[in-house]
Amino acid sequence: MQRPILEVKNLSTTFHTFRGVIHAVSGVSFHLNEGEILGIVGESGSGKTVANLSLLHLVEGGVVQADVMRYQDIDLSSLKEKEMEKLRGAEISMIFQDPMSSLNPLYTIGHQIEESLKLHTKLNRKERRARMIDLLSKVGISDPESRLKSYPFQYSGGMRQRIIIAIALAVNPKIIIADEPTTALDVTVQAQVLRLLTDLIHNESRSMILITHDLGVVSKTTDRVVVMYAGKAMESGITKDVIHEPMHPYTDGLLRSIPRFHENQERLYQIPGMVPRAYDLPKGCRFEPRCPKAQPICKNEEPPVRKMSNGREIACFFPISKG
Amino acid sequence: MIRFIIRRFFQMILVLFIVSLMVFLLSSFTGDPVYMLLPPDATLEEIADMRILLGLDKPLYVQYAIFLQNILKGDFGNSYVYNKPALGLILERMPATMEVVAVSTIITILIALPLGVFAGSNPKSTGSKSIMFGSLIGISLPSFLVGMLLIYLFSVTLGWLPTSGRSIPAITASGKKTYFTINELRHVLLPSITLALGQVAMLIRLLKAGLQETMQKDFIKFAKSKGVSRRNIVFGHALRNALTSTITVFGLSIGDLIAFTTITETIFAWPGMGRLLLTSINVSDRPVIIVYIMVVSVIFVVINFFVDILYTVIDPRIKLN
Ligand SMILES: Nc1ncnc2c1ncn2[C@@H]1O[C@H](COP(=O)(O)OP(=O)(O)OP(=O)(O)O)[C@@H](O)[C@H]1O
Ligand SMILES: [Mg+2]
Repeated sequence: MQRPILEVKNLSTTFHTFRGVIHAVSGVSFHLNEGEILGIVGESGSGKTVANLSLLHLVEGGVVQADVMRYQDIDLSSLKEKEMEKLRGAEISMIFQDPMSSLNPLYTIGHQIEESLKLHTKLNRKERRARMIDLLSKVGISDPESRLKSYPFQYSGGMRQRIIIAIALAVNPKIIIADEPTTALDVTVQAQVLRLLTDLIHNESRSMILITHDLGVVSKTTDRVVVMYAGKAMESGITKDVIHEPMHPYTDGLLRSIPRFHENQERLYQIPGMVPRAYDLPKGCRFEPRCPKAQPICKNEEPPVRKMSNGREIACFFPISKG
Repeated sequence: MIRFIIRRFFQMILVLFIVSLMVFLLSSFTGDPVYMLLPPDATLEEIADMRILLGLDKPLYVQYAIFLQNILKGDFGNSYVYNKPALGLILERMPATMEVVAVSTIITILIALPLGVFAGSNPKSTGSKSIMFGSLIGISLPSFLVGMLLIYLFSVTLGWLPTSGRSIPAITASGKKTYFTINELRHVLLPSITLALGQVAMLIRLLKAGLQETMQKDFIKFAKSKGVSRRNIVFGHALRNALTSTITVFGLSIGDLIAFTTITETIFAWPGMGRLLLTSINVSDRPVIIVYIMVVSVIFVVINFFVDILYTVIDPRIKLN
């Protein structure tokens, strides 16, 4: 098997605040194979964003530690800021949740795409222009030439997210990290933008980490998935396996709380209780207070990560068995 | 653009009308100029004559109507004290005030811009904290104290700079008028610094707050993820956004500075319009006070006009109409 293009082992990110130490990410491991889409799911506050920002040294005021944090042959944790700047946007780019606020309101679209090209390529002015027009038409923006001179406020959310995708792809990065790229969009636009994004990834053999709340999106678009809860990876594996036979009670709970139109559900399932606060985490398994299968040991000991068949990993003492 | 200017012009006329009315009413209730102008032992007859001479015997609305009529004719009334046109008196002194305000604004920008940018882009550093602490002191110090301390230090103790006065307009031996000279710079420095101190402190705080807020924005995070260097994040992306919230307040504060140089001009015996205002208030020289306030209103409207234009240059979302 090929070596993954991105590999993270035992990543922890903590914030020291006046309320105490916040363990936003504690000992998470995952990897991304070349050409695949990896989903990261979990409830709000589970550390999805912080984990990915940590890779690019973009967490403000947090302490990042990891046994391994590798992109191709580059050790990300030892990179100096200047080297990291060369990597950001050129090798790994990010797309954020809210397209309405991700673009600088005072600069034209053209200026903001060109900025990436100026930073990371040696293209001259004419070539940059050609590339920008090419990019905009690729993300489905009509009349790209005249659009270069317009400002973000002249566009709708869906259009802006397309422009942001164009910026993220401008320098042909190997990896795109998309942090809930469609959450802020209208439902009708969500599917279009997601489709565009996945097509662009597949056609140009890039790899992507797709952060989302939506297990429906995970099952439709991703190859593998990591389920995070309160800063930990609860379960990971091939998407099909995880969705069809969840082994962690948390994954099971998440799956059962998706509304299904074709089934006659009396009441939607809801995982009981609340996500623990990041500065006040349970001592044992972080899901124990809400877990229907919890035993005394779960309260006192953290379950180790167990490797199962087919690349499946799970952090639970009492996984759900098949059948 | 032209429509914008015309609209602004009419707006200014309206502002002037309202201001003149308010000032006229206020000043007619405060202090009677007659007693100031006549010796204490003047007879009742002399007082009555003086009232008629100044037009003060007529009812208020008639006085105001005459005043407005005269204004439309370009006559803003004569100073009771100097017996010269009040507008001329003020305009004569305006360059001196403008000079000290301009120099102090340049000083302000030169000092506050770098400090404010530093404090706003490194809000947690000790450097930033000491800058902010210093600015707090700068805001709280009254200008008469600062002025006197500066005179004591640079003029009395060190003897580097003159204590007071202005060197322009000076006529050189050849009969030519001099303009801005080194000597003038020496004169204008201390009053300008006195005026600048509060401005520096305020601009630093405005910039810091604006920049710190902008640095938290999503588009900054996105720009970072594109690989933009920290320097370009601050100067290319954040500063311009922070300026939009800064320039309005700063523009108005320059207006304030022009309007209220009185204390500083008095301390430094600076022959500007602020000092004229103070003496005019002392002797209830009503025409001068009224015209002064109207001139200042015009200045405010003009500054606002330029701020609005500057706004549209900085922020494409704002249209002039
Ligand atoms: N700069 C910070 N300082 C302190 N705590 C932070 C900071 N950034 C994030 N956190 C905390 O870290 C935890 C994880 O946050 P993160 O944004 O990664 O969650 P998420 O899984 O992306 O959630 P969402 O789905 O809402 O985006 C949260 O408890 C959050 O409050
Ligand atoms: Mg997030």
